[in-house]
Parts: sequence; structure tokens; C-alpha cells
Amino acid sequence: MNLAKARGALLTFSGALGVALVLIALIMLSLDKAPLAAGRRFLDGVFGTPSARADVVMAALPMLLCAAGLLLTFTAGLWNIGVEGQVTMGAIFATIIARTIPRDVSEWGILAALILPAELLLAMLGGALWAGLTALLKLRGGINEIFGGVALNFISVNILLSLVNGPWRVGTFPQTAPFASAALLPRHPELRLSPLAIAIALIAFGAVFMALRGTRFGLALRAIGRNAKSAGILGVRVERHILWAMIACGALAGLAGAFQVLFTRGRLLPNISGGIGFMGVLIVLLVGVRAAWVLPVALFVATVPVGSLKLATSLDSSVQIDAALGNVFQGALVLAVLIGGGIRARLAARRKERAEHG
Amino acid sequence: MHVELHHITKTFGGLRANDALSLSFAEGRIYALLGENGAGKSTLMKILSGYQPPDSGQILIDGRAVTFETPADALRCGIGMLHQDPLDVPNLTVLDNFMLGRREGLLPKRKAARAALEQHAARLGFHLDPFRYVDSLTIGERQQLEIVRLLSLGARLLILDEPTTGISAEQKQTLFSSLKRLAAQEGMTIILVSHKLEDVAALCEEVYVLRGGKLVGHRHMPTSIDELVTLMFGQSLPPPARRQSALGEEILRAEAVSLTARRLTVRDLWLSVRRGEVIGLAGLDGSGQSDFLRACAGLQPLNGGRILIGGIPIRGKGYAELLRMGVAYAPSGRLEEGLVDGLTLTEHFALARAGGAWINWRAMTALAAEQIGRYNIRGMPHSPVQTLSGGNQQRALIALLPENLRLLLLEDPTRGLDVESTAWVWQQLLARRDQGAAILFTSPDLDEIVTYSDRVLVFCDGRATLVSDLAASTRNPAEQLGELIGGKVYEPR
Amino acid sequence: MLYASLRRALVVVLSAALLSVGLLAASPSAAQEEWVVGFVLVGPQNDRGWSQAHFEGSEYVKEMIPGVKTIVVDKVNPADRPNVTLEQVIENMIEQGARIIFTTSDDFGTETLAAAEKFPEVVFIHVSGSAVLEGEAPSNVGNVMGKMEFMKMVAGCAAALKTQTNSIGYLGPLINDETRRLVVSTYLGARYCYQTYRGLDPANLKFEVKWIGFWFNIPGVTADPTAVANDFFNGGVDVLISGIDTTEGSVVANQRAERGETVFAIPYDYVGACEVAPKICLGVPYFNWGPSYVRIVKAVMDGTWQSSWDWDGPNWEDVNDRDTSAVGYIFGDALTEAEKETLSAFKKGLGDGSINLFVGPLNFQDGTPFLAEGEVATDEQIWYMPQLLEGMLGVSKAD
Ligand SMILES: Nc1ncnc2c1ncn2[C@@H]1O[C@H](COP(=O)(O)OP(=O)(O)OP(=O)(O)O)[C@@H](O)[C@H]1O
Ligand SMILES: [Mg+2]
Repeated sequence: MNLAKARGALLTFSGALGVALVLIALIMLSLDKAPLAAGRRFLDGVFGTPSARADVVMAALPMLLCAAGLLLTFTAGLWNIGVEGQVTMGAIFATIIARTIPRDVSEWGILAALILPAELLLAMLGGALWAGLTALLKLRGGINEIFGGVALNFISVNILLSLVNGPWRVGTFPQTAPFASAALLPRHPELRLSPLAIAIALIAFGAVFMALRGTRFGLALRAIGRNAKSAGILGVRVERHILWAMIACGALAGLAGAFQVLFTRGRLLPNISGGIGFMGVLIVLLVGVRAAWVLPVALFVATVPVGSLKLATSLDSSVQIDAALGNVFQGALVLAVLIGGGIRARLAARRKERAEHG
Repeated sequence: MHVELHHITKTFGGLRANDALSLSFAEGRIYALLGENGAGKSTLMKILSGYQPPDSGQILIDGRAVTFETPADALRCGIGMLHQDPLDVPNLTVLDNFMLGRREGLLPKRKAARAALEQHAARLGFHLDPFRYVDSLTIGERQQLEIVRLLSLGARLLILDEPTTGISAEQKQTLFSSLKRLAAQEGMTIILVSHKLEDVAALCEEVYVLRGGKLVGHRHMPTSIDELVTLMFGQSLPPPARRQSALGEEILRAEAVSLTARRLTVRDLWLSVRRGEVIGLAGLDGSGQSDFLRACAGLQPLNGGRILIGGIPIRGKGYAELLRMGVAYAPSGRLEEGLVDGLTLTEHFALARAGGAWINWRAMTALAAEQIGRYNIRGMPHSPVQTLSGGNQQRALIALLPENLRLLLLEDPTRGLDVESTAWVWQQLLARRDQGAAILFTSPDLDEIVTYSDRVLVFCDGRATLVSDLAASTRNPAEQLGELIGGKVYEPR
Repeated sequence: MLYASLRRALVVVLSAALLSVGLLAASPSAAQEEWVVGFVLVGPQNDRGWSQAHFEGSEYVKEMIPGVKTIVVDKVNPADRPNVTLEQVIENMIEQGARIIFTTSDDFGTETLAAAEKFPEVVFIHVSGSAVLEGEAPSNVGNVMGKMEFMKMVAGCAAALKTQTNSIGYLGPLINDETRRLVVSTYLGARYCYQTYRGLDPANLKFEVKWIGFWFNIPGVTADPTAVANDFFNGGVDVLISGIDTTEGSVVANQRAERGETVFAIPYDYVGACEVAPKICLGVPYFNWGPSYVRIVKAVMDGTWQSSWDWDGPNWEDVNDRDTSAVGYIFGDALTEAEKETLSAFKKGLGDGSINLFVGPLNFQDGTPFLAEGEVATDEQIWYMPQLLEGMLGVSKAD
């Protein structure tokens, strides 16, 4: 952790960004589109209006939550790919309460104030449960968390689909009815923005940041991630820490799922997680598990859907792009960063081999 | 091949690990490189073998200046190094490891490689099963593999960085006689880095001594051990004093324990240890002594029988729980098992010391600084542990042991320590014993076992025999112990 | 520590730079002089089905009304644009100056009404909805739909003329009022032609619908339309009529035809759908949204538009007239000249009112009466079709 490393990370990131941008520009040129104009429109669109800025912020929140949780698991060397399913379970668990809330809760008095906390807590429980299950599969069943996570992702999607196609379905489409406003995260009167959600996400992220910096728990996770055997000899309860890291990550992912149903969508529908769990994984990989970078990178990643929509809704057809191109861009970016990181690691290893040996 | 080092200097931060060192190594001779922990021995040898460049200075081979970018460059010039910590790839087989680094085009010829492996091993008198996985080998066997590999790749100068730490006396015999033959018959140059002065006396013809990164002496053997010690530390050391401590209540009890060691199963092991006692575990490498230690720490399951600590069976308890009961285990693997590569000393202390959820970094840095002073560790609180010299890593491991222990389980506790440090570490350990801790330790060094143990548990052929009257023996106790390890039946007098 | 704070500074600078670039680049949004019309599509604009039909409608608007600009955003669904909501799409369109917005999926109903409340100066047309009919819509919302029922009757007729196994299959999407009335219409057309033109007893005509559960295949969620189509053919069906948005029915029929079976298919939604497998195609009933869209946009521009629920029918003079007919039927290559003539006659009868198939006596599938002897169904009765009819096989309601 020194300046050279930070500079290296920044270089990798901007290099990768450059490569991804060039790639997208080439694709656009081959489709007879105008990449420069599109770039300008993208930036205008993303930063130009308060409502777009609000959209970026709100799109970043669930990813930020997932990334925060994943910082814990990645630090402990756990590839919690199951985060996507944990988001889904969070959304489902929040819906258990949300769908029962009537339009009019004026009679509820003090109880009405408990709706949101209950929904959020239940969502965290749902995500934590799913993550805990992955951890138990790993610790008791010897099933690698990646495989366990993939399986549980699959199961969570099927639970979601059977609910919205079955008992929770309202109307012809596989989705619940829109939730009553008392069940939703309170919304800013003009903007698509929930100050409460922002506060919750920032607090959660801050807590993770502090935990990794200043607590025995965070230090233990680092030790486990680097050498679980040695950590055990130093007195760390390795299994327990793995379990708790997963559970904490699941709870945060569950919260992200709650944001999806209680703010973004206002109801439960298929693909409710929308890949934000995977986005979280990508963000953490992009920043190389360096917590301080997560916030700006999450915001950056969140500009992609908002900006691509700006391009799609543009009057100027030379900048209109397909929905898939945004995803291509994200994919290209991630790939470029990973490859860049790999190259850097190789160079560093070669240099290290030459310079010193531990 | 004649190799000369000219004014080699290497600094890390403000630390001059090598300070204008000039040494020369002639063909067919066996050298020793001596010096206290952190003197700069490994640093210099890594420079000579291409693992790191010097800040300044030159390497000359037969009068020609060479520069090495990588260890492979050095090996091409005939210089190979056997590291203090093995660099092999644990989850590959012996044969696969042997084939690493060979230039044979895309499709390696396994058959030819196997033949080469067996030929070189025979030349040295080693026995290596090509299809065993490396992580199932003893440290001694891993060393043999590495030597065979270096020789097959054309090494003409062989550097051995503390090769005898962690290997059995028998393996050491084999190694030394092969090395002597290589030097005498094949003109191989050998540099031995070691803290064991008896080894140096037994093997080497010339000795270089480093202190604080500087060359402080060059002697031809035979030279008295006292003189070497004085060169290394600036003073000679008094022999360790033996005294016993008052015995307390029973802390460890093993009843009919049976467990699987690397090569054999140990059966029907009985032992009762009281607080204030020191028990040495002796045996050929891999005879079950380390496994028994691990079992006492809750790190290895038993096949049968039970172990009680303070009267409580430990079955089902993890190491963390035993730690809370006052049991601590320190393994010999250091960076493999014990220290976390990438974490600083302060972070290690923060982890190892109990405390609240929040870490008081300032207090922990202070604690680390204090322990560094107490255990005379060459390093700073913020030094990542992998930058410490081998001996200093071992000191850190001992320093990390919590206070107020009832039972210490130590695997080769003075591995890689210089004579002075060894004496000093034992002083610390015996102080703990005097405070009421029992100590179980293994060591490949029979003298160490004889010197510090009250009783010795000898592991041989799947049996563990308790020997309690070594000190009283009229014969050389270490010799007697050696016979027992080798399979002579013990007859208590 | 110094390094750490430097690193932190770097993060701050980077974020600030990102933001300031954005702020500097900000520029005023689109001008208001021209008329901008927005179209929100649920699927890809080139899906050879429902969404493509709407896309062509939008192109037609551009072509017919000079000075109109269109914004089309396709794939507005949680799978393709997971982090985008309809609300955002609509807001973006309005930001670009849109004053009329077509939301072209049943799914968009609730959100369209909410957006209409928020933007009272913008006209919203929710396609296939009926909030206006039900009096639930604000005054800036209209509904529009094509009377596909007639063309489904033609499709049913074509199938009845062709079948040799006396067995027709209908690949249904999900079950709701709309899809029920379309299957019912198909059945009525088939029964009529089987009896009238082939002189056979309709009791011997087997007409079965199998619902896959959604408008298109979602692996793991819906029944696989390819498998369902094969089931139908294995069970003796020789004409498969598709009610889903995609073309699996035609593809399967084509494969089997190539293996020598005599089977046919009728796709749905889009004028060009027969091109997937022309040889086995008996034609396609399709939507032609252009005329309805042009009418609505012009009315809004003139200031004469008023909220209404429009169920636009075909131009019976020429159901395939691009400028006037809301729905059409293109004959497929697999029809013989004689069959085409019969179908034309049938169409003519539907057009001049001499053939009305929604006339009693008709019973629902469970035996309860739908229309009494001689009773003619109202538009509402057809629109809110609650069940399948007696004589049809398949389920009426989702469980
Ligand atoms: N990569 C590094 N970064 C910082 N300091 C280092 C590094 N490598 C070695 N040192 C320091 O250089 C000094 C000499 O280390 P070296 O490993 O050469 O000692 P040594 O003589 O081999 O000791 P030992 O007998 O304990 O193995 C030590 O103080 C060590 O901490
Ligand atoms: Mg060393």
C-alpha cells in the first residue's frame, strides 16, 4: 500500500477506461453512429440535470451496498458470487411485508413508523440467511462458496419466479401489485431520490470501511484472506469469521434488494436484482478490494445505465444506441481492468523476483 | 569456477543489509557464511544467486563481471541456491517439480526427466519417490529434491541457506557426505549458511563471518567454535545452565492415543505432563512427534484414545478454544503456518492479543515496539513480516505467544536462530516454565533436546517411549538418544 | 500514513474531476418548436412481432406528418434494461420535448397513469389498455387497440379449410381477457368455415389451446413453445396457430414439413412474420398501427384530441391497406388459389356484416350461456371475454 501502488491502480483504471471507450467508439462507428457526440450527450445527460444526477446516485446505492458487503468477503478471500441471490432474497423478504401494507395506514398510528424498519430488517435477514447457507455449505459440506453461491442464485431466482407467477401475482403479468406508498422508501418531492436510502447506504458503507480499518474483525478477515492457516494459529476463529463475513455481506445485499423493491421498482417482479450483485463484484474487482475507491467507482458504474438511456432517448439518431451497448461497455471496462491488473501483477512479480525475494 | 564478490552493498530503506562486502570463493572448496540473525547472509546469497540485484558492487566469475536479471540467469552461469524457505510448488509431484525450469521445448519428456531425477538422486545418495506430492514430503526431502534439481540444471556453485534446520540427523549425514564428495570429486563450490557451528566444523574448509552487514572475519578451518562465536557476536557465550523448576498440577494427559503421522501410525501413546515440566519430543523426521503436538493443539484428529488438558478432554474443541484455555502452539513453518505474509508486525500483535472489537492502533504499535525490543527482533512495527530475516521471523513467532500460558506446544522453536538467540529464546521459554507453563517441543537437534528437556518422548516405529533419566546417564546423552531414535530398545536402569 | 493521505486525496480529485467534466459539458436541452412523439416498446424493435409492428407505426408517423420527430426506446423490461424504469424513460422523453407518448405494452398501464398525473400537459396513449373505458384515466390519457379479432377469425378459417386431421392447435401466451377473446375469435372463425365451406360437422373439429404462460419463451418460467408445438404435432394437429410474439410455431412446422409431414402454421403480430417459413405459412394476422397513430398525433397537434378508448377496425375494402386499416391479414404461400378465394369471400362477409360470428346461441366452456339465441355481443362483452367457449379444449383461467 503505497503511492506507487495507488498510482498504478489509477493508471490501470484509466488505461482500461480508455481501451473500453475506444472499443465502444469503434463499435459505434461501425454502426454509423457518432461516438463523440454520444460522449457529449452521455455526460450532459448524466450530469446535466438534477433528476439525472439523482438517478445516478440512486442507481449507485444498491451496487454500493453489495460492493460494501463484498469488500468483507473478498478481504477474507471468499468469492461470494451468491450475492446476486442474496439481493433477490432481500427483495423477496421485504415484499413479504410490503405487499400486505394497505393504501391507507392513517389508522395505524405509531405502527406505521415501524413498517419500513421491519421491511428493511426482514430484507437483511433474507440476504443473511442465503449467505449463511452458502457459508455453511462451504464450512460443513466442503462446497466451494462459488459453486454454492451459483446454486443458491439459481434457487432464489426460481423462488422469485414461482412467487410472482403464483401466489403473489396480481394481474396478467408475473409481478405483484405496486406497493402502497407507506411501504416504500420515502421519496424526495421532486426528484427520484430517497435521502433515507442514501443515508442508510452511506452509513452501511462507512461501517464496513471502519470495520476493515479499525476492528479486530476486519483485521482477522485480512489475515484469513492471506493465510487462513496462520490466522488460525494466531488465534482467529476462522470458520466463525467466514460465517459472519458472509452473513454481513448477505445482509447488505438483502438491503440492496429491499432498495430495488421499495424504491426503484415499487413492486416485486422477475429479475428484480437486475445484476446489481454482479455489478458489486465487478466494482470490488475493479478497485482491487481497496475500500476507498468503491464509492467513486460505484457512482461511475451507475452512470452507464442512466447515460445509455439518455442516448437511447436522444432525438439525434446518430447517438441512439442499443440497450446492449451499455452492457458491452461495462463488460469491456471490467475486462480491460482485469487484464490491465493482470499485466501489472505480472510486471510487478517479475520486478519483485528480480528485486527481492521473501 | 572461481567466484568473487566485490563491494556488494544493499540497503532496505535506511538499513544497510550488506555493506561493501568483498568475498571470494574458489573451485572445489566448501565455505561457511556465518553471522547472527539479520546479519545479511540471506541478502548476500540472494544477490549472488540472482534473486535480487545489489545497489552497487560486482560479481565476477573467473574474473569476468556478470549481472543477473533473474535466478535463471545465475543458474545459467552455474550458481544455484537452496532457500531457507522451500520454493517448490506443494501441490505438484516430485517429478513435476523436478521438471520445472528445465528447457525441453513444449512437450516435456517425463520418462527422460524421471531417469535424470533418479540418476542425480543416486549420485547424492538420496531416495526420492517421483510420484509423491511435495506437500507430503518432509522439509529434508524437499531440500533433497531442490538440490537434485539445481544439480541437474548445471549448478557448479551451490548455496545452501540453513539446510540443516528442520532435517533429521540421519538426513544431515547423507547431505554432508554427498556435499563433500561433490566438492572433492566434481570440483563443486559450496557455500553453507548456518547457525550450527558443529555443522560448520564438520563440513566447511573456510569461514566468512558477517555482522551488521559487514565482513568481520575470514578463517580457515579448523578454528575453535569459541573464536567463531566471538567473531559473530563480539563476545563468547556462557554455556546454558540447566536447572529444574518446581512441578505443579497435571496439565496434559494423553491416554492410549493413536494418530496417523506422515508415514506411520503411532499407537498407544501415554503421557502425563505437569506444569513446570519441559518435555522434548525426539524422533526421525516424520515419526509422529509434530503430529502429536498438533493433536494436543486440537489441530489434528486422533484415531483413538483421548487427550485431556487440565482434566478436560479436548475432543471437538478447536485451537481458538484451547488458546483460551491457556494452550499455545507455534509451528515451524513460519510463513506457511504461523505468520501472515503481507501483514505487519503490529497487525500480528493486534490479532494475537485478545481485546475488544476496536483495535487501538497506537497501543498495538507500542506493544509491537516493546516486543520488538524485548525479543530483539530486527524490524519495525510496520515491517511486513516477510521482510524480516528468517531468524527474526522465528523470534516474532515466539514473541506472539500470549502471556499466562499453561501449556506451550513448540515445533522446532529455535529453527534458524543463531547460537546467541537460541540461548536467549530458551531463557524466555524457561522463564515461562518457571511461571508455571509446561513445554512440549520438538527439535531435530538432539543436543537441544538433551539440554532443555526434563524428560524425552522418543518416537520410533510407531511407538512413543518416555525416557526420563538421560541426564543421569554416564554416556553422552545425545548419542544415547540418537540410538533410541534409530530403533534401539530403551532399557530403563 | 503520508501515502495513505495522498491516496485519499487522489480519490477525491478523481471524483471531483468526474463531476466537473460533467458540469462543464452541460448544455441546454432540446428546442420546443417541433413536435416530438415518444414510443416506448417492451421488446426489441426488430422482433418480427408486436414491438416491431409498433416501431413501424412510429416510422409511419414520421413519414406522414412532416416536422414530427420520434423517439423510440425499445427493450423497456427488467431483463434487458435492469436498472431502468418506465418512469425514467418517460421523463427522459419529456426532457427531449416529447408531447405525446405511446406506451405500447399492457404491462405499462399503472406507470403510464402515474406519469400522466405527473405530466398533465403531455398526452399519453396506452396501447391495449382500457383505463379510459373504465373511467380510471386522467383526461390526458387515451387507449388504442386494433380489432385483431376479425383477422383471427380469418386465421381460424384458413386453418379449418386446410386441416386434414380435423385438429387445430393454438399456441397461447398468458391468459387474460385479450388473449381469451383472440382464441375465441379464432375458434369461431374455424368452426364457421369448417361447417360452411367444407360442409363438415363442427363437432368433429378438435380445437385446442395450450398456454405457455407469457408472450415469449422465458426458459424455466414459461413452457417451452418449441416443445409445446412439437406436442401439438405429435398429437395429430396439422395446423398450428400462434398467439405468441415469437415464431417458434412456424419454425417447428417448417422443420416437420421438411421431414415430409404435411403441416402448416399461422404466425402473429407482424406483417412480415410469414418470411420465417413461407412454404408452410397460411398467412398472418397483423397489426398496422400507423393509421391510428397518425390520427391521434394529428388530433393532438390540432388541439382536437380528447381522451378516448379506441378499438380500431380494418378497412374492409382492403384490410391490407397500409394507410387505413388497423389490422390486416396477409395470405401465405401455402394457401391454394381456391382457398384464397374462399377466405376472401369470408372476409367480405365479415366486412359487410353478413357474417357475424359473435351471435347467440353461444355457451361458455363451463356450459353457462354467453349469448342467447340471436343475441349480438357488444364490444364490451367481447373485450372482457371471461372464458373460452363450449367446444374448445384448453384452460380458461390461470390457476
Ligand atoms: N525485502 C526486505 N525489505 C526490508 N528489509 C529486508 C528485506 N529483506 C531483508 N531485510 C532486512 O535485512 C536484514 C538482513 O536480512 P537477511 O535475511 O539477509 O538476514 P540473515 O543474515 O539471513 O538472518 P537470519 O539468520 O535470521 O536468516 C534484516 O534486518 C532484514 O529485516
Ligand atoms: Mg537468512
